[in-house]
Amino acid sequence: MTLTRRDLLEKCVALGGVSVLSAVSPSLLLEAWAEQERAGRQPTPANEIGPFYKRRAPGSTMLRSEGDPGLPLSVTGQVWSARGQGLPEAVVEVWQADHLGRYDIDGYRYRARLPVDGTAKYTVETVMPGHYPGRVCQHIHYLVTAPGHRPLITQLYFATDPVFEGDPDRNLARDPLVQSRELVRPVVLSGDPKSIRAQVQFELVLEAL
Amino acid sequence: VRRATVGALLGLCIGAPAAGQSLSTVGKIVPEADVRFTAIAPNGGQIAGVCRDRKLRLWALPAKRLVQTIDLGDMRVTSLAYSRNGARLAASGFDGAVRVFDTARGVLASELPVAPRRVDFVALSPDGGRLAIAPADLPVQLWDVAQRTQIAELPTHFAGATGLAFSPDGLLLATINSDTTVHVYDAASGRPRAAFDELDLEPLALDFAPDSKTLVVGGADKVLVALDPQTGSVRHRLARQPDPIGGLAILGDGKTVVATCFNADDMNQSRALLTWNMATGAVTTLATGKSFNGGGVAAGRLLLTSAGDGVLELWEVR
Repeated sequence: MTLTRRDLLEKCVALGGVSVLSAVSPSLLLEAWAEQERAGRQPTPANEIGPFYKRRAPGSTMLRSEGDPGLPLSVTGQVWSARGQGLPEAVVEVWQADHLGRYDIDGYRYRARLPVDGTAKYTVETVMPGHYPGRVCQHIHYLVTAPGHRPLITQLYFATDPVFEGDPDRNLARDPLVQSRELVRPVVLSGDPKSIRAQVQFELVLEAL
Repeated sequence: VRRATVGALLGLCIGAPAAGQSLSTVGKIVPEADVRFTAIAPNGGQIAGVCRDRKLRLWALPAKRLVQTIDLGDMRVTSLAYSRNGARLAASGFDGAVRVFDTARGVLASELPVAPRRVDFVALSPDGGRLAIAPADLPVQLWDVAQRTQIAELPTHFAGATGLAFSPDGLLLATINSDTTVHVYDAASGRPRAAFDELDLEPLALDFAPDSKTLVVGGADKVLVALDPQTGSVRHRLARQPDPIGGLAILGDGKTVVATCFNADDMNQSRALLTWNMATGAVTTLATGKSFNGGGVAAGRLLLTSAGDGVLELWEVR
């Protein structure tokens, strides 16, 4: 006999695996828990593709070269379905301007088709992109595809962007293209003053077709 | 938005007259309010300008006389496109709506609530009966204007279109797309006819020759490619230029392409305005720091530019 998730949770309560400390009935709480799990993950908000996508980008995860100017930046994350399952067959393409806000349209600098590992994790080693005329915020473009899922086109923004003056919640609208607070990610700085580096986590959730 | 950016004109700096084509001014219009978007009717009979005061103004040519002022209300326009005879003018908006105006009477002829988000580009078939719209990052839609019904949706691999054009004979619709592809469809049904996928970066401009037998595309790859729109095969190719191509139009002779280039590091900065003779391969720089806008070439030879000083200027390519 296959137990439902609700049955399993009730069994956990009966056997002491779960303790309920609430005035609400355990039955209602267990139903809410199961509902939350069914809801899965919210798809990552789309954001427009913007300029200068280029086909046939290389498969490297290391986009910065030795001695490249700019703040070294690592971006990591996983690719998920909206049901909460990792998508190891996903392909993550990223492209961005260099630290001075210049896109390489003659070659493939700061462009990659990132491999995703067996647990659907991706990593990219790059530099913090610069600002450029006509665009307010620093950003990295993403195109994420996976079999059976709608392609995700979006952009990653940084809470440390000077445009936000330290308060992305209040100043989000300064760039009219940033339409979701969720795309503005916190930045973790590490290292010492001579070799500072930034780290950002950016999860990608795709909608099923 | 991108076309508006690269279409903006920064200063006028006419280059030295070169062998072949040259650019000569035909006249100027100084609108009452700054112009954000312009279009010139393909028959050369009218110019349209969406102004910062949210009014659409129409000027008759060759007199350059203001003939209509239409209040756009809260519509924020993203692009304009005339039908071939200038009788209809379509305007797309940030809110996803598309309005079609009767240009002789200066009234709204039709309004189509077509897209759930901003529409970047719009094109009208030569007779004004078909409308193609490109919502941001969504598939192009083909509409029957009179019936107000959608005929087809034209999907790409991902994202949406960066430009649209009907062939002058009204039989074909071409789209250029963010996924770097070029597609040609039957304009009546939306059925695919041909495709071209040899570009690495996005095409940003397209135009059909007057006989509808050649389609030229150009963009971030910095090349111009002349295609057979029935097959998608390459007829002519202009070698890589120093800058990306932001706009292009084919003159009435069917052989000469006029193209505008822009600075990839600052898309507001126009670079060379050049001509390319597809038959001989000859390239001439007409001007620098200048780009035309307004939907291409009118009457086979006229280009419209708008400047930061708010002046609309009409040029003839000779």
